[in-house]
Amino acid sequence: MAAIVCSTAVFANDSTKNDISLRYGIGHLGKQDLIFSPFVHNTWSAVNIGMRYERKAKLHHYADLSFGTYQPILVPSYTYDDDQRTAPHYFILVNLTYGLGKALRLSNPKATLSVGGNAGINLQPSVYSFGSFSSLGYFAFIGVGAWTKFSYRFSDHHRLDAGLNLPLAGLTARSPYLINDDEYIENTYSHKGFRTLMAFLGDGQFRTLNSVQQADLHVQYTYDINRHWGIGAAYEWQFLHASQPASLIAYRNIFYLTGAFKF
Amino acid sequence: MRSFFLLFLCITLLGSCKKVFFREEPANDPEAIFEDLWKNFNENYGPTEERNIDWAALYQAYRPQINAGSDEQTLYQVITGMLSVLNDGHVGLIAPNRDRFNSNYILHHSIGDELFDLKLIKTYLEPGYQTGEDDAYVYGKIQGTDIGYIYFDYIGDNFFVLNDFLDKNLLSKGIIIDLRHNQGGDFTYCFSEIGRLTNQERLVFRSRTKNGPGRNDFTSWYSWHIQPKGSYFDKPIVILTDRYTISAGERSVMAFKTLPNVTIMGDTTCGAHSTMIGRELANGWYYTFATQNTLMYDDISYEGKGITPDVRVVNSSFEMLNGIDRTLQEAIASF
Repeated sequence: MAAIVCSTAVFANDSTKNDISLRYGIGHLGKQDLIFSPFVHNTWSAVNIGMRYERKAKLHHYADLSFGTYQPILVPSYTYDDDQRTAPHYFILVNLTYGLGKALRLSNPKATLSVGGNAGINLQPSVYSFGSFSSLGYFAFIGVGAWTKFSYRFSDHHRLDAGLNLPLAGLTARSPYLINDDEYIENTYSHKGFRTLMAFLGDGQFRTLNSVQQADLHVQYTYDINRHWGIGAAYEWQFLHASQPASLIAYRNIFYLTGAFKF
Repeated sequence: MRSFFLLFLCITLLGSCKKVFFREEPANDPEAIFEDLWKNFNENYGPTEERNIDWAALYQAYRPQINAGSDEQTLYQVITGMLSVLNDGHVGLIAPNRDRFNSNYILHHSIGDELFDLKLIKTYLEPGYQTGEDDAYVYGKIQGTDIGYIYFDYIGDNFFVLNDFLDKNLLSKGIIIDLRHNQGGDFTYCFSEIGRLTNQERLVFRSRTKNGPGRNDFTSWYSWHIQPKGSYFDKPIVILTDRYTISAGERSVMAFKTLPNVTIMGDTTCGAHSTMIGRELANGWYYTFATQNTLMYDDISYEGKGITPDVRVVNSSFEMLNGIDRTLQEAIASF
């Protein structure tokens, strides 16, 4: 799912049109992937970072990159075989999105609304650790969707943004029903990371909302320090459900601190 | 402002409500844990037919031994008792403060483990032999001979040294590839690196993987070959195996077995030819199991039986204590 945390300034009263922002936050992940486990894996993580470029001129563009890692474990780590210890699973979440839209005029001059379409990549490699044995898993989505963003400026310094991103259709690749079938093994035959990734993606199938549902909501408050700099706090909620070859359900809550430079 | 606050509140509540989204998890009580494990094996264990397993009968035999009040020790004993019936080297269980359980009788009880000793093998090699990290590989020349020797601890990136090893043995009488106590790993490393040992494409095995809960839910058969790659090495090759040669190690033995200049020597392999996967239980225990069927190039499954050597040689404890690796010595004498 494309990460759309609009950690940027609004352009309502600004002469600046471009905005680059960074964000860092604490997140909570809940994930149940029946390919690997019938259990829900919950954990908090302090590794959630993102970067965004946004330009609002005649058209409204943005490019957004986010990265997060999570390490859930069902029960606290324990010792076996005298000196071996169990380890948590390891989930990586990477999103890259480009969006293009149009700002609509609203009757309230303090408010703006943009709508548009986007294209994005959502990569979620994972390592499930089962004591002395571990399995590599993956979810990948390369597709298109729709987005909207509403901004409201309370004053020269205070602004609130809210947005929604809905990936609609695209190439979806997931681990096989029992993790490593022959096609999976064939895909790893090159023993080179990038070629393996491409092979996994090559086995993907075109999916629509029928079998993959994703959503990404965000709310952000921004304080504009001056014409060029702004800081803020944001909340983001992500949701993912894929039904094939076995159910995958995940959600993520992230609380960000943001900083933006406008020019 | 109030509407934004409400939206924020709704989203937070939505995100934190676990039951809204997820499927019901197996409960953390002895009966549910047994049921979860048995169900997974019943639906997803690959070699049920090869190993002649009757899951309903196992359920009838072991389920009554568990009740709501069963303690951890009882649960462990009942589960490992049931899994012991499989005698499968791919089936294991990990629980806190215990040694790893392996369903295979020989592996679990370390029977004949002492009949292989890498330290002893090194005494057969000329000084200056090469070793990988943690002895992932060991290779050199057998002392006083023109025979190359290489040992692989597992099947993985350690196979990348094979090319160098072959280059150093272009003028040798032959080579010994020691896969005794090979722990398995990823057989594709072996298949991709032994291209110099074949001058034609050769079928090694076919496999298929469970892809649904039904007894006959499998993928189509998938054929695995080795392909010629690089300058052909046609010297005589002896492959050493033992009861601890398992999984990808055995698939590698299958690949070597397709070659006309290869002799397999030692003991029968473990007989666990599938890939395996892991799972977790509600109490935090982990287990592994096999998910595939495998037919060697002769269209026969050796799952549960193992690959028998062309020449059977098994070291004795007495010989090992006296610094003699008879299997290796017979391999040397065969050239």
